[in-house]
This record gives sequence, C-alpha cells and structure tokens, in this order.
Amino acid sequence: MNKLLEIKNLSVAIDTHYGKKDVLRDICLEVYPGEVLAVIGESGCGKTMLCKSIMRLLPRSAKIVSGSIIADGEDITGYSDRKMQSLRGRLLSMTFQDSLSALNPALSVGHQIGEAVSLHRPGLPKAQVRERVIELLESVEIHNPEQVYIMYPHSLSGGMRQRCVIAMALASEAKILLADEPATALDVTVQARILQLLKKIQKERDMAVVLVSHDPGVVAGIAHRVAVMQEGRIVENGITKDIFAVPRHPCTKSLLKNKPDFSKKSEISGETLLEVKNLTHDFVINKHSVIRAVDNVSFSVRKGEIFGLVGESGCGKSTLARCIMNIYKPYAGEILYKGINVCDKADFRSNRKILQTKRQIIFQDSSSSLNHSMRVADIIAEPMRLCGISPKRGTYLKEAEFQLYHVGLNSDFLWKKPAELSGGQRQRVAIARALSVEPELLVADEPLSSLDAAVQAQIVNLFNHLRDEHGFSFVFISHDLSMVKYLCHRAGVMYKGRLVELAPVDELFSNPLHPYTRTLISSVPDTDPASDWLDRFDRSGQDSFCTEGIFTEVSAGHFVLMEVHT
Amino acid sequence: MKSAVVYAVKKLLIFFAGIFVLSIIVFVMSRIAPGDPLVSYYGDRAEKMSASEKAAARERLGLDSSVYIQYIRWVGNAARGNFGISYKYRQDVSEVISRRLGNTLMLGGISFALVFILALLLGWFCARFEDRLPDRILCKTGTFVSCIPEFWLSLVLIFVFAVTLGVLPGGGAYDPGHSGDALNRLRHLVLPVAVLVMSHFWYYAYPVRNMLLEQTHADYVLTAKAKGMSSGAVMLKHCIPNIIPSYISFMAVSVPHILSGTYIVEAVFSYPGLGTLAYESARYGDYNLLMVICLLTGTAVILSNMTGQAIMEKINPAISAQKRGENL
Repeated sequence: MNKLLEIKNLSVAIDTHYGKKDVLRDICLEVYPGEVLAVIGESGCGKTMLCKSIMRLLPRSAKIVSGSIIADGEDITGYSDRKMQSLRGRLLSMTFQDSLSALNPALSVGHQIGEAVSLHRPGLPKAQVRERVIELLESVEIHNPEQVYIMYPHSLSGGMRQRCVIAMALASEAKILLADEPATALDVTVQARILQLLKKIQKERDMAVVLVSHDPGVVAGIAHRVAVMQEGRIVENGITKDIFAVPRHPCTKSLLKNKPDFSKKSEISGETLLEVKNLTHDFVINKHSVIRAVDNVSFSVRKGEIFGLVGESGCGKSTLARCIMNIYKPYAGEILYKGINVCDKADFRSNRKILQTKRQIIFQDSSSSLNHSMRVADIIAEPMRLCGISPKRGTYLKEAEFQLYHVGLNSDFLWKKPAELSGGQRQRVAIARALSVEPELLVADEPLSSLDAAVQAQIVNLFNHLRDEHGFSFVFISHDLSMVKYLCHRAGVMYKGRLVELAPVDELFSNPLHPYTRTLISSVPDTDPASDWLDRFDRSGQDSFCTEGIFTEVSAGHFVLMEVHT
Repeated sequence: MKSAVVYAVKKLLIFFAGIFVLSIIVFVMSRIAPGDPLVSYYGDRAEKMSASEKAAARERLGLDSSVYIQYIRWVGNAARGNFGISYKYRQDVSEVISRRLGNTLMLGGISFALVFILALLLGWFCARFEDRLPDRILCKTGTFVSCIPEFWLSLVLIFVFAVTLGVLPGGGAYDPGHSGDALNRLRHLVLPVAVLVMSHFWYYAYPVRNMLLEQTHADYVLTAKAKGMSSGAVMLKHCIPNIIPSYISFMAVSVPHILSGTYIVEAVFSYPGLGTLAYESARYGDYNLLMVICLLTGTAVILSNMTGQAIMEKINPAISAQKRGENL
C-alpha cells in the first residue's frame, strides 16, 4: 500500500535563552491511507510539536534540524510557506487541543467553518457555502445546525465546540486529519461521544487519522497502530493489540499501568464527621434567572473515609465543596461538622478555631490558588501563622520543610516561587499547605484534573497514605471515574445539582441503578483494545435524565433517586 | 427597547452630573487662582485706578458678591443660554468662542484622524515583522520621537521649514486677507498637524502592535492557517477585525490626550484656536470665557470617555450574549 505520509529521521530543535533544545529526535513514522495512527505519551513529550511540524506551523523559534516529511509522494520539508498553504486543508488538516482558544472568539462558528469551505472551493456562492456548512455540522452530529451556525464559540459547550472544530477540519476534504487531544478536558460521556464521532467519520470518509492523546484508554478502541513517545523520541511503535498486550518499553508500561494499585481498602470507623442535610444553593444571575447549582443534597462522611463525588462539569460539585468550606453560604439546608452547624453564625463563631483549622480545601487549579509572589516556605507556613499555631518543630521553616518532605518534595523547594514549579509540584505544595494545620477533613476539588497520569498516581498514593497513617477524611471530587473507583470508599453521583445515586464504590460500579450513572460508567475508556466499549456506549445520545424523584435506599447504603410514578 | 431608553437616560444623567461638578470646580478654582479680571477688562488703565474706582468697577461686573452667589447667578444665566461677556474682548463669550472653535476642531480633527490611521498601519507593520529588524527599528524610533517635547519639536520645525527653508508658514491660521482660502489654511495646518501626529502616534501604534501580537499568538490563528489561509489573510480577516472595536474605544478615550496636545501646539504656533484663548483667559482672569472653554473641553473629555465605555460594553459578544441569556 502507498504511504500517505512518511516521516524520516525528523529532528526539531527550539532556540531558548539557554541555547538549543531538541524537542523531536529522529522521529520515523508512516501513515497509510484509511488508518488511524495513535501517538501517545505524557504531556511535554513532543506530540503536539510533531503535529505542528507536519503542518509546518511551528513557532518561529523552532527549526527542523534534519530529516524529511514526505506527504502523498512529495517531500514537503523544504516547501515555502506559500506552497504549504495549498497543502493545508487539501491534503493535511488539523484540530487543535483546546477548542475554545482554537476558534476565533469574535466570529460566529458558521462563518469560521464557511471560511474553510470557501478556501477549498474558491468562488462558491455564499448560499452554497452556507448549505455546505450546515451539511458539515450535521455530519458531526449537531442536531440543530441552523442555530449553531450563528452562535459564537463561547456560548457552545466544550463538546459542541470540539464538533465544530472537527467540522472545520473536514470542510476541505483533507486526506489526513491530525487530531491533537480531541477528547481531553471534556466530560467522560462527551469524550466517548467525540471518539465515537471520530471513528464514524474516519470509516465513512476513509481518512487517515493521526490521533494524539496522553490517555491510552482514548486510543485503544480506535487506533490501528500506536506510536509511544517519550522526550521527543518514538520509543515503541506497532499494532495496537500487540503494544497493549505486550508493552516492551518501560515508558509504555508506565503509561498503560498508570493507575495506582491498592486492592485493599482499610476499614473505617463508624463515627460521622461531616453531615450534609438537604443542602440547596442558588446563584442569582439577575432578577429573572436563578440557577440552582446544588439541589437538596444529603450525605455524610465518616471519620477516615474517602468520599467521592463525581459528575460532569457544571453539575454542582465545586459549589457543594465551597458550601462545605463556608466559602458560599447555602441557600437552604444544614452542614454539620462534628455536630456543629457550620452555616449558623453563632455556632461558627464559638467554634471558629476548630472549624477553620480542621477543615481544609485543595483547589482544582494549583497555579491560580497559590500566590505567585510568595515563596513555598511562606505559603505552607501561612495557615499556621494565621491560626496562631506555634510550630512544634521549633520554627515555621522547619515545619514547612517537614510538610514538604511529607508530600515528597525536598527542602530545595522551600525557596522557590510557584511559577518555578511544574503542575504536579505545585499541587503538592497546595496539599502541603492544607496539611500544615493538621486537618481532619480535606476537601479536594478536582485535585488531579490538571496533572499527568504518572503524577496523578503519585498524588493518589499520597492521599491514600495520608488516610492510612493519619486518619484524614476526604471529600474527593473528580470527573475521573476510574480514580474514584480506586481511591474512594463510597461515592455520590451528581447530575444537574441533584445527588442521583450514592453507594459504596464497588456496589456503585457493579450495580449502577440510575440511568445517568450507567451512562457515566459505560463511557469510561477501556484500555483493552479488544474491548468494544466505544461501540457499546449508548449511541442514542441521551443527554438529559430525570432529576425529579425521591432519594430512596434500595439496599444497605445504596441510595438512588427514584422517579415517582403517579 | 425599554432597556435602551433606560440606558440612554442613565448615561445622560451621568453626563450632566459630571458637567455640573466640573463647573463648580472650575468656578471656584478660577476665583482662587491669582489674576485680576479688571486687568483684562480695562487693560493698562486698571493699574492707575484708585481703590474706590476699582470697587465700583467690581460691583458693575458683579464680582463683589461671594463666590457662591456669583456661581448661582452664573448658573441661572447659563441655563437661559447667557454665558456672559468676555472681559477682554468685551463681546459675548459664545461669539468669541465660535470664531475660534472651528480652527481648533480642524487642527484636532485632522491630527486625530491621521494619528488613528497611522497608528493602525504602523502597529500592523510592526506586528507583521514581529521582533525582526523593521519592527525593532520602528519601535526604537517611535519611542524616541514620542519622547520629544511638543514645544521643542514645534520650534525646530518652525526653524527648519519656515525660517531656513521658507516653504511653510510658521504660525497663524491663514495669511491676512486669505481667511476664505482653503488651500492657504491647509498650508498653515501642515506644521502644527505634523507636530501633533509625530508626538502622539507612537502612544497608539505601540498598543496596536501589542494587541495584534496577542492575537497572532492565539491558537485560532493556527486553526485558520491549518485551513489553508495565508498569514496575510489571517491578519486581515481575523486579527485586525478582532482588535478594531477595542482600538476604537481606546482611541475614543484618548481624545483628551490629543486635545491637550493641540492646546500646547496652538500656543507655540500662535494659532487662533481654543488653546490660546484658554491660556489667555486663565492668565488674566477672564472668568466667563474660562468657564465656557473649560466646560467645552470637559464635555469633550466626558463624551469621549462615555463613548469608549459604551463601545466596550457593546462589542464584547460574551457580555451581550449573557444579557440575552443564550447559552447551549
């Protein structure tokens, strides 16, 4: 078979202040017509750089040092920008990682897709361009193309935007589609739908697709072949089944086995630490619209328990966490911490010290939740200073060092500022900060979502260790179901502000009762390439579930929101 | 529809409140500032007048009562469209100003339009050659030129073009007897406009450059290029339209900046505009004239700020869409 794209010994280097830095080294790849090649690797390994070099959209500081790119029989390595323009779209097209920034915020979606259509077929009358755009929007399974046509990117959801970006890449009928992390940063259910869509489109149009992802589970169901990248090199390359069955390179092994394994979850005592009763919180947008972010939610967390909260973005998880931490004052309901009603002003005031030190929160985005002008030592010691806790180990500095050691960082980090740290290191500092006052309850609001798989595993292990050693209780908020499955004792599923199901984790995954829970669980990517989870995943596209009903206990500890038939 | 009316009424109220506060400040300040209004009314004769004569003159001009009473009287008259007479010109203030207003508007307007266009083009040029030689040269010279004081630049230009070369007039708005000659007026405008444009364009070209660079580094530019668009087309169809609204509102807010420039330039070129008039009236305590000029300038400043603000509120599709409540 003819190769559609061939990359021979490609090396790319970037000019930095510290001299040349190699980002791609000696890359060799082939793409055949009608196949899906997956490129996987941790973030920063050069996957996106590879795509950009193929498209010749590298930043100005990056140069192709050696090697060649042969597309459709032509060596395009030395092509001028003008010559590349005619190839982009016609032969190669690409979708970029973040669909919000990849679209021009000031132009309507229809206009932007229309541009791609008219570039491909110059002189096409406006009415026909519009028709074609609508057709494209329909082909990416957007059910109301006429409406979406006139909308701006910011008013579309992440999944819809990703569909529009794919439609744009399809507009010019390219032979090769480079899809850079098309499903990242989306909710699991949406992610599954986008993958289904890509698979369908690839089959229908017989396109060659280069699918870039950091998540092996995403590519397992689609890709024919997989290339694994590490530090700018391709370390393993082969048929998907073989690679997943017998990974040879240590990098591949760690990618495939990134989930921490601890089969044994220790027992928990029965004492209730936190109790949330009928909590409701509204956001008032203006006089006419009120959004009910949390709607009548009740649950309790026992001492030493890791309680998981899952649900799609916007379902009210973070709002709930903030209510628990007294950041928002709930509209109705009660939150009892060790029997103290934290929403009650008088109760709060008389128990201020215990409420402020024994409950701590870790925010989702570690870079914005740490003050950039403070040093790590001060960040960690600040809560102790504020709460007037005298350092047990002599000085606040020693205390900060101890906490850093605890989260696996050495004392060199004490004098650094957050900007000098990587995402994983920052999140550890955020955790160390929360731990410094020795809390009993930690609320972790998506602490892992901005981190790489390997770092995620480290942090999860850290959480588990903290729980075992120190008996912390956690409210662990995540949209990543597999993490919840591994880490938590019990989990609640939230949907549109309601808690729709609550059960011990094993029970929840083996016997999900609410339709939303079932959809959620079936959308978790399976790393087994032989598994047909993507095909099995509910194709009906059911997007709304009933949120009315009564929260009933169906078996011991298993609650579900049951519809009431009248 | 109803909300549009409410919006307009709100803005109008803010505007009048602003003008009212401004008028009080200017009125009181002008009374506190040194300068004898009798000098501008009687000229040299004022110095020879006896104390009683001066008192009588003050009473005649209504300057004897307290500042508050004077202010209330002034507001009452102003509400009926009577802004009093200029002590120096012994004419109605409105008449004195209307003769000069056109000149200033001409000078300011032409300069503003030129700065507006030039800044956009140069900013574009710099962004196109980001960090390469043309951009670097222009950035350095732009900063240098914008640092030259206006009065000094004016003097140098007058020296070179009017005195040494003799190709352009060095002052005034027109040659005697040529007041209706458009070409003659334009020739007189060349040097003042040149000074204004040179000393102002970089203040605006540099932000344009940076706004454009912010756009060209955005991911959507890559998307557009991946479609097969050329860099030039991306710039013209995506980047520039995206900055235009914020650029316009930015320029609207900077009207006062250029306006203050015209006042200095007018003084150096002895150009008969509001600037020279304002300077003289402040110096000699020509209160009525000063009030009106300050209020006119203030109106221009407030109006331009409000326009800029309104544009800002209107352009952001995220804000307007949120108001309409459409979200998927």
